Amino acid sequence: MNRPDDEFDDFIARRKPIFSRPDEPLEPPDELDRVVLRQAREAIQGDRPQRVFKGPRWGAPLAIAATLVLAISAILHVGMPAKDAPVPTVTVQTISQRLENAPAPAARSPTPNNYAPAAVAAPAARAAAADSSGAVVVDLDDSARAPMAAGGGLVSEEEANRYASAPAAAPMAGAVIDDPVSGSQTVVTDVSPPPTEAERAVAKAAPAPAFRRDPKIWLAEIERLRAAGKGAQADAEFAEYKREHRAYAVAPDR
Amino acid sequence: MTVEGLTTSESSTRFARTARPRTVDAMSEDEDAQLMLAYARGQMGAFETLYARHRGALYRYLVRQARDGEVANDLFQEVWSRVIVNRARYEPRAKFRTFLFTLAHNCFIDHCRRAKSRPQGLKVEDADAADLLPADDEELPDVQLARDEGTRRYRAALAALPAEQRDVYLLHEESDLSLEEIARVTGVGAETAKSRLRYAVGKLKAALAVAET
Repeated sequence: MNRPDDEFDDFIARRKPIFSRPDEPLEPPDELDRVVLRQAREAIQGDRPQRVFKGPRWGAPLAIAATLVLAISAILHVGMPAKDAPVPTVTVQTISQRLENAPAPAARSPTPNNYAPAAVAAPAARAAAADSSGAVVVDLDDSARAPMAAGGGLVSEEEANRYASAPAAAPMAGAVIDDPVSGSQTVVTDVSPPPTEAERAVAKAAPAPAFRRDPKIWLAEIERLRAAGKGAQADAEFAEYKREHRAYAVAPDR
Repeated sequence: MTVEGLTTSESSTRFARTARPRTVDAMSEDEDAQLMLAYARGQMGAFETLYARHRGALYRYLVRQARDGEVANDLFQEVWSRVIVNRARYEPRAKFRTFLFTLAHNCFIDHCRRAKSRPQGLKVEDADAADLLPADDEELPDVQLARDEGTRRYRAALAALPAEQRDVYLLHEESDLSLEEIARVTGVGAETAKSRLRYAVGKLKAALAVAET
């Protein structure tokens, strides 16, 4: 006869049952199986990352580099002011029409014709005037003037018209000085630096003469000063005129 | 009817009732852990194998514990839900079966606490989980399911057991866990688990013997 302890040890070791146990076929219902399996499937489907569009690996660095280049370019070209003053240029215009009947003084600017002889009378004085006004004096040799000489004074119609009303409509940026002695032509281009804020303030503070309000009258006044022998004052007024009217230009054939 | 690619017939075939495995060898336990890890990596087939292997034992344990088919169904689904949710944190430090029945044990305890906390004029604080378990077989609807006399007597004897003894006995019978593992699941020492099991077996033997005579 087995002792109770041995019987229990056999039971624990699953070697021998102590009592007869009914074998009930208990199983979970099919619906429960489906619910559990569906839940398990949905759980791992939720873990899978959804496919989204992904660009190439070099896309992001390239985009960043392009953005930096554009930003730096914009800063350099727009954000920072130019340190150097603009370099003056001499505009060479094409003469397209022969001006035959029009008298040269009428077709030209009213200023340079009368002003030129006095300014060109002595090259030294001209250079001195240019130095005093900060202008660059360029001498044009005969070869440059040859077409003009051969044509007997070629002036475009457009140019003539512009000069007829030049002071009011389109002021010139330079002046052409004829030198009857050497036969050369000089283009004077104003490259003087723009007035500083202090200079502008002083200029605004001082009462401006009345003739400066109208460019035509201003130029006439300069001519009058030259005619009166007040060359220095005329030069000063002309320099002021050019400063006020930076677009003032004289064709290179003048 | 097809549900998620699994027809009713397929489900029945897949989980066809087979003889209950009374023992689980070490190889299959290791396979269980590997299956669980594979499921955590996204292999649904691993979970299906795992589920088919343990669904019967777990369900029987819960039915015996709850003695209510609906409650057992709810607990069964809750246990597997916890398995699914905790798949990423699963570490094969113990048998998967131990892990599974620990979840089942905790789910049942939680269920008893919830049932006790319902407005029935009963106090739940300080109450041991075992005290919350139903003890009267006549209160339970699954009596209707007892077709034969042997089954009815067995259920009655099982229901008459104190909850902690019934818990240890059912874990031993249905889960095939060792005493040490049962002690770990129930949170008691191995000697306590052995003692409870000894009392449970003795009471069941006496009850069934009296009924037969």
